[in-house]
Amino acid sequence: MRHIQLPKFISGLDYVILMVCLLLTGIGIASIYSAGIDSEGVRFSNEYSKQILWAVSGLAIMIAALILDISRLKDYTLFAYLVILLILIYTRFAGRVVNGARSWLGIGEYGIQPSEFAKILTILFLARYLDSSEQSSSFKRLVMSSIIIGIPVLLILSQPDFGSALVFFPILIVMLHVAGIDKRYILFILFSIVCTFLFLMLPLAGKYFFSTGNILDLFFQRPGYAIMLSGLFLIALVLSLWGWLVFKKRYYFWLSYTFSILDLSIAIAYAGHKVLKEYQIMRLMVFLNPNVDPQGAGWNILQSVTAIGSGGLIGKGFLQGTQSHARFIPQQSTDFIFSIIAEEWGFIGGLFLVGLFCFLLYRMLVVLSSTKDKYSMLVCGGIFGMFTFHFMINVGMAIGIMPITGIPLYFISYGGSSLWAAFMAIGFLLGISSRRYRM
Amino acid sequence: MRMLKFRLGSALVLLGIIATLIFARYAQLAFASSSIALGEDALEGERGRIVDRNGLTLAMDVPKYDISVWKPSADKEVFELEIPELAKLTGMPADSIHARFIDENQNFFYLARRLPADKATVLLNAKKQGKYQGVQVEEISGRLYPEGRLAAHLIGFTGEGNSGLDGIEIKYNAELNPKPRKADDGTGRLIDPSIKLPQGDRISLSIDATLQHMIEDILKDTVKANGAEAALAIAMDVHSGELLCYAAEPGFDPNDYSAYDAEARRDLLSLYSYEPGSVFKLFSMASILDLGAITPNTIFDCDGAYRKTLPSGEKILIKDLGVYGKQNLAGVLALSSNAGVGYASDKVTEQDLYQRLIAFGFGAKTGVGLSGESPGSLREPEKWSGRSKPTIAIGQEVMVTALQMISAAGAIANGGLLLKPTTINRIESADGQLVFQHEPQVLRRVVSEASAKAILDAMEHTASLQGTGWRAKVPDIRMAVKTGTAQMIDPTTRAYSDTDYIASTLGIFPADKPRIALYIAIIKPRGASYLGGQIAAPVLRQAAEAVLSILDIERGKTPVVVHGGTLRMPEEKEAAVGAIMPDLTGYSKRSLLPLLERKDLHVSISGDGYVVSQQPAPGATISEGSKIILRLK
Repeated sequence: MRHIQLPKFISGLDYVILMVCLLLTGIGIASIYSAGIDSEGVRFSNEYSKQILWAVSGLAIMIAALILDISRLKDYTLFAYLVILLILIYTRFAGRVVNGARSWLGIGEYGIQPSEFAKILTILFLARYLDSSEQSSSFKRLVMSSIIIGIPVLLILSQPDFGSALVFFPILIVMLHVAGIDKRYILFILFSIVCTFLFLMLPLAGKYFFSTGNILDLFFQRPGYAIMLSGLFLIALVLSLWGWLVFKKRYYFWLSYTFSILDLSIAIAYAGHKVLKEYQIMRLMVFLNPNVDPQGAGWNILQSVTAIGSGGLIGKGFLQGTQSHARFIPQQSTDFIFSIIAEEWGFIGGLFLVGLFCFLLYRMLVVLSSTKDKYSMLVCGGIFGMFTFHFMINVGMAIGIMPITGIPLYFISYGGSSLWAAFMAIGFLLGISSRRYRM
Repeated sequence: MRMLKFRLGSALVLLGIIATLIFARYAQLAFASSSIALGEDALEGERGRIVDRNGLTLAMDVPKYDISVWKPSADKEVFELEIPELAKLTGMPADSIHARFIDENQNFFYLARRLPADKATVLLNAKKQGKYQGVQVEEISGRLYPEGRLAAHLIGFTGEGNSGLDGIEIKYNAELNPKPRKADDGTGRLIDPSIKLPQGDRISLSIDATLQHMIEDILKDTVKANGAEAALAIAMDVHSGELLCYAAEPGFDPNDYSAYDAEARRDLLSLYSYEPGSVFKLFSMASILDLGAITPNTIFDCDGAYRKTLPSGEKILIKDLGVYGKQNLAGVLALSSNAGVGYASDKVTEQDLYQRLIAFGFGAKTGVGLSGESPGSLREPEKWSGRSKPTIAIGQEVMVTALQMISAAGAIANGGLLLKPTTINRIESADGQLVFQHEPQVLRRVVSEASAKAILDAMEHTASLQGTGWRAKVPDIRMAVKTGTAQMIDPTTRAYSDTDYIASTLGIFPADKPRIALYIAIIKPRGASYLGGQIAAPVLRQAAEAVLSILDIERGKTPVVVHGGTLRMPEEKEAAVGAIMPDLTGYSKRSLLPLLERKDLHVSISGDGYVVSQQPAPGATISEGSKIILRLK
């Protein structure tokens, strides 16, 4: 078994990353412990003891991932990718419904979320593809990568788990960036995402955030205008594509570029409006002004922000967070775990946590820059993108500057699957780091 | 390698930006007072009261209770047995409690929000005996509107965290919110040390609760009698611009606002814009008169219709209800002749007419309502068609709000001066300092005094038996009146509807020395008649009687009874309990409110009206935690 070997240089292991992760896990367990107490001091949840169990088993998974030499196993990633797709399909139809999404597989009380592992296996396979396709054109690589990402994204969206599906996009962007794909294409994806969000939100924004009768509202009151404008964009795209193919002039390329972004975003946003319910879109945008719906979509944000604000500089002390214990933010131990930490440990504590995460992300970049082979570098990039996005969205959501998407904070939030996935990713990363001198 | 460095660098920059953003926002949350974080003032304390112009309380703070269930603390089987009792106490149907309880997605749900103290006490006591495990009772500061539906559209209501969601409650949220009142001499000491808890300012509205009450009753009957969709009434003191009555039916009870849909809570007086119809002729004729194009004695040939052929060949025809023959200004208005007004409009330019109507305040917000107040709509003359000028002159192709109508009527009543209308009389801080006192604010002169007088005279003629407005006339007082009936535009066909009308009447009185402008509009009447002169005018008369009953306006023929406020609800003493139990019999329910607010006493009240029996008896000693039971009848 030459693919499974302990790294000969245990001394080369990145202990800093390991220690940071263990510290974060400890903070997480303590916070979950605190989140399980209600305002009368009564413990109502034993999530923390389960989390300890997850953490211990997660460590075993990490060591297993560390031992596995993924750069030698890269030819098997397609197999792993296909297996996880099959599992996702199975979950879609036979999984268990938790929080409205058919996203769980499990027996009895215990279960896993395949989508967490799909992220990592997709990173591995995408890295394999991008590594082996350096000779292909940027455009072809972009399309192929989008397809590789797109299949699990669609499967996860159909569960429907919007948050988990979203994580694939930063992974894609960072990996394409590392793979050296033409910046135009990376910007294309970025702009498309931004425009899609805008088109998804605008009709409701017109309704809730501005007084009626504003220009936006007017536009969406008369669907005829919107359809006409979309039609014009489509014609413009066809014309500019034709111009580009016939005349090969540069500005035709940019015209096609712009209009493809617009048309693509309009199409996706249109589909989004068909698929998503109004309150789901509201959840995405309510952070702009939680007071438009203080009882509904804005509730979590208002409660979370109040809890964080009440923590002040040094916080109320462990287990003393009155807001967190009394107000019952839904998903206090998962999505909104940051608010309980910030309330009990104050600005200092929150800052320490944010600092720790930033340091971890920085160390990931250090590992990335020290790798010698492209495949390892790409895997590091994907993991970096995944962690960055989770951190940014989760903390941003708790402090009210990001949409509510229900993405856990790795190592901190309660949940076996996300903890296992985090340890697995760190295991791969540490393995890459300790084998970096081999070639 | 350089390529890689650049790519790494950009990733680092991205990370830096994210970290900075998070740091900045986080610091803002942690260090700025919670008010910034929430965008609302969440200071603990008492929100200021809203009172009417005579000091009658319309909105006040009382302790209320949020009742919720935290499932992990509840024993499933015990709880399910308790559901019927909980349903009775909280008003939430038993089956929906059960549905929420077995819903696995939520561990927490509300049984009732803002529950009054009496019911919450029952729950708390039962909880002490070990019942209702998992049910939580949380005291919050809640708003009580002792007069219920009275002026609900104006006052609005508060929501989560007791901050304003609508009406005065949101427009003056900053003033009403509790704030520590500190001296501004830099020492930071409290002005009045006896007020420990932060308190908000007290807002005195310009409305008179008694009048408001009477007119709301009249409107209620009107809506019922005519099968109408809604009815509006608004009364203004023309010398100060203060609105004495601000009523719209159907209303809602702000104590239970969530039981009404948003449409019922909509403040139609400021948000609803519509084509005013013939009442608008007053303002167009005043404009044309003041431009010098006609005199009060100019004769118009009202031969049944306004006819005109445009240079393009298009023929315009605006019909009248009858053939009125040759009429002067007073006759045209009294008979509400479209032909007369149409021919008069031919004598001025579009630009001149438009400028005057803008000066009356049409097409712009009055500033009385919320920021979302409708400005109505009056298009620029460049966008007018050939028929716009006569059409606008008779009150079509122009959208107005009731607030704009009353404000413009004020200018006619006030000798041509347009005042800024207001619903606020004064604002005082918790320690009695005057923060704001309304002073009449003249915006501009719209027409000359002579023109305004001529229009008033014509309106008086309208109220005579020769005019359309005779039903609006209060017998013993000189009244100036104008009626109107406007066809509504059917939103589906974008054409005038055959069934939907707005019947309205405007009155100004006394006509010789105007003090009050009063405007009534009935939306979509479905009764025997839809004509303003037939259904809105009698309502105006009743409302005018109500206004006269609370103002000491000299009345002509009947012996003068100076009411001097006797009809007003007398200023009541508020019930107070010290160390000894006083005799509270005869106290009204409202006067007991201060007792309910006290946290050191358990006061329970049953029934409505006035106290008929009490326990303990007068003279008994009262200590902290004493129970007082009052029965009202």
